Amino acid sequence: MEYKIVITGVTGAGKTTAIRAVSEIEPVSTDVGNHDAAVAKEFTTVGLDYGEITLSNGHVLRLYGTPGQVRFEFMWQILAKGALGLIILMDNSQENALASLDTYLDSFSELIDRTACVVGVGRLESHPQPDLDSYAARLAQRNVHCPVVPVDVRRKADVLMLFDLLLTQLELKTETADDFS
Amino acid sequence: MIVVTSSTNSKRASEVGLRRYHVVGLDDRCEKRLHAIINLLESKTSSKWVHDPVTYDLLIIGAEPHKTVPSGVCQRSFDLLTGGRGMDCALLKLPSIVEVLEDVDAKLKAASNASQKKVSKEKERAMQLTRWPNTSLLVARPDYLKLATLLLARPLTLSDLVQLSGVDEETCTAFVSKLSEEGLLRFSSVSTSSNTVSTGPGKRLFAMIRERLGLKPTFS
Repeated sequence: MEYKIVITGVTGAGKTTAIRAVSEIEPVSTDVGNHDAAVAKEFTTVGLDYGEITLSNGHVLRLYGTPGQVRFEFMWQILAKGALGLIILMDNSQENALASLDTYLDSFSELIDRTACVVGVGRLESHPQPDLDSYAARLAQRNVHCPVVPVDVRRKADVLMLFDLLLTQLELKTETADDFS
Repeated sequence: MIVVTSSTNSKRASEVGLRRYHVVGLDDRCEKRLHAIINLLESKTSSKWVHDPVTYDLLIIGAEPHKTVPSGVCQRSFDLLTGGRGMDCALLKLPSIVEVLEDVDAKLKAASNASQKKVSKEKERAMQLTRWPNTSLLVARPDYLKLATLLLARPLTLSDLVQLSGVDEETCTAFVSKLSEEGLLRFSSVSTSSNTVSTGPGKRLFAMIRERLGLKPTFS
């Protein structure tokens, strides 16, 4: 049996890095050269990232990183289908971070309603605004109830914290948990 | 005139015996003197007072308080120090300041106790977070992140929270009191007992993921 967790967020937020931190295989990425001058990275994911974790009963947990650009939104819906939960990674150094958050909340609303979500905000130290409380306020305004925490995906402990918070919510949502039994 | 007001800006969980104050509207000389006096008073006050311009329990305001009080802060004004004219530093009399600090400390303690009693009364009612709490509250203790996540996911009674988190009741109560003070809790007559937490294959799935990632089990 297969399960999946989806990691989404803006280009450059570190989805590939986050998957690499926990995947037992080297992530399979469909990166190409980045031509978007607004994003300070050489390569960007046009398709998706993929990693996996084999559970003790032999079942596989698949980790999917979505392409960041909105033009690949059609893929987000495909990846969201049947997922256990969602991790949203934000890059606070990019402009209009809260508007970007809205985009992901809209696109993954069905998954968020059905399961659980956690928002990790990166580069807060160098770019403190908007702060975490602004993100929390935006989530509340959108009637989305999920944790929002600072994260540096280069640190495995931070990535594990995101999974921990996601699983904690899933474990408490009885019906959701049993949906995936 | 000097106005002293307790503040609703104190979003950080107060450590035991520690209070925070901030000063606005006083000239530099007056303000420095006030800091020095409050520092010297440590042995004479029930709580230790430290200057914190961000999250404070007490705001000491100079002239024209209506112009200097940040909006939303001055909800409980005491007007404890009045008299004199302008910024007369002679007003900064040590006994008066002790009296003010002790009075505000007592009122804050009373408010906190009332809030804790309210929480105790609500002990068997389910409660749920209406939004993710402010960072200043969450960073007060490492356990708070877990407690907030549990309370966000589903309505829980205080007993549920203690049982599920494995965090001691005193810490849970203090956290819930803070959330209640800030109006972040929604109480419900429908209690969702902890024994309804998934025990089926769904729970086993999440336990296996935790095990594989090297994460501690959520539930003690």
